[in-house]
Amino acid sequence: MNLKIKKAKRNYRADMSSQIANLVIAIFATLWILPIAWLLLTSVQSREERFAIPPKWIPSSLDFSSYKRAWELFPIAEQFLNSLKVTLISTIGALIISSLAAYAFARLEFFGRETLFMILLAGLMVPPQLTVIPSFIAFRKVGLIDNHAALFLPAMITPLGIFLLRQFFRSIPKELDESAKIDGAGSFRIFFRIILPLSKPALAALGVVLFIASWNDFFWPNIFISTTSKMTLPVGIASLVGVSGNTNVILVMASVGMQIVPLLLIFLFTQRFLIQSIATTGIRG
Amino acid sequence: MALRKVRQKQERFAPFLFLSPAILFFCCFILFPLVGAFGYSLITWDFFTQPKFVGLDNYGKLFKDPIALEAIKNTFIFTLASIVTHVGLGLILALAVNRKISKFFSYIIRTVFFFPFLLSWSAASLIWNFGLDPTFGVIDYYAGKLGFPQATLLSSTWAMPTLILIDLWKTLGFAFIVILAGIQGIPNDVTEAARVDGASGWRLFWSVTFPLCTPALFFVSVTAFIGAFQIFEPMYIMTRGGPDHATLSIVQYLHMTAFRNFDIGYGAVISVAIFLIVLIVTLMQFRFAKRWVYEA
Repeated sequence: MNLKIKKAKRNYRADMSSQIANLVIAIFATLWILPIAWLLLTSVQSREERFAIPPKWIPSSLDFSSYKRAWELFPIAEQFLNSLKVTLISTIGALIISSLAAYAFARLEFFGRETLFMILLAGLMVPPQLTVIPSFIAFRKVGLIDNHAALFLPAMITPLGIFLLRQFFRSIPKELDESAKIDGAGSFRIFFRIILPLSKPALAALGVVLFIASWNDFFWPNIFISTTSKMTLPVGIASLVGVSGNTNVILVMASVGMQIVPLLLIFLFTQRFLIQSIATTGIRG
Repeated sequence: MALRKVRQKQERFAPFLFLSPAILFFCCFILFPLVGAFGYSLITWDFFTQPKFVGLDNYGKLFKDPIALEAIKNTFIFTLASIVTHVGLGLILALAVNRKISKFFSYIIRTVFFFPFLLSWSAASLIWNFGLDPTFGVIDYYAGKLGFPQATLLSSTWAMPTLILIDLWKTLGFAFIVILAGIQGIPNDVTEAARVDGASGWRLFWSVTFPLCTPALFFVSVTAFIGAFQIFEPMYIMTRGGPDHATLSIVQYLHMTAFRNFDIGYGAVISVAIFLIVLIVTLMQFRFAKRWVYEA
């Protein structure tokens, strides 16, 4: 009898704590969506609704005119293509360079291998804030300021990428390369035919994380690019704040909305993969 | 026979061929700039006139520059708050989600908390900028209902706490996901064994879950420190470091010095300071880790 009561008590308590947990989550989740929800809802409201006090949440009718005007007024399409170009080149370049180096560190024998690896890995601790001034001076000297190369070239070396791929390559059974070697395959053949195909998940995870980091980067492109038509999206959108006064605020909102909506759609469908990539690579962007 | 010789020769150069792109890029974009930053910190230069060697004068200037010291102080406050809030709330959320809940519910939760992390800082800053706008911002309005008069959230007293909250909103998803993965990585038999021994609730948490997820907590605190210490965008876009340098971050001060005032030498000193502070604190974190991180 006593035991039963104890068990019931425990169940009740577990139930209570479960309810509390749900409540905690619900409160935080609501707080977390509100800013984005408000921006998206406001961006399709009519002028009167937008400035209503107290704020109105649900628009009475959908008014997309601000999106249309923002699209016509600001070089959003151009900046989107700039972002796409810079991001694709830097991501693919980084994947190629990192996987080549990672293979040498994981599989080839040569003098000073571990030392060299440690030196490259130490590069992890060098933040862009330290390299930005010398890089700016160097790029200025070769005339690449206000040029996309100044954005994607430095992004192609990622010590963390080399490290992660090396770890992954090491987990591939060595017997596979050994048997290929017996069949007469050289290092390059083994790399392209065995290691790379088997590493698709790791490459995809690293690629997606590098893509996001490059796509969202602000610090570097904000310094190296000054022409509006050459800007990447994050810099372009931030530069609108200075350009447009309060009257155009809704157009800037619509531009932000234009950035959020596609991202949200992509995220809803690839959530599991994206989250896993970031959790496994541990890159905070 | 000749083919084999070619192959052998190729093999001997293989490490070099595989590594040369990485080494080239490493030298150009990490090593040389690293050395360069230290070199430029010894001169005064404004891009246009003749550079002048001044030795360590720029470093002396840093310690006497009240704005620089304030920026460093601001950044440390921001960083400390960032670590505490991310680890604390990330752990609470991860625990709250790590139960038997429906797939749909867990999908919604992960979407809600993780999405801001995917947004660029510039989009996030603009969203909050609009929300905090005193004329039409929804956050400013509701803050008013809570007793914050119009536009106080970005006043010199409240701007920093507001930015800390915005940073939490933006990157909590990362901490949450990493800690959740850490908790879910705890072997089931360990938890089961503890349960059989009669542990539950708090006891289970303090004796099993918490110690076994300390590696994840450690990882989050290291990345939160590095990320937060380099904070730039929200200050640059929202507050411009103001009011009265109340939210000026050290990276923002670097940006101002080197790329607004074109004081290259002093800018390089600030960048070296950022580098050294991040390096030293991170090393200290690893040192200290042995005391509280499981199997560190």
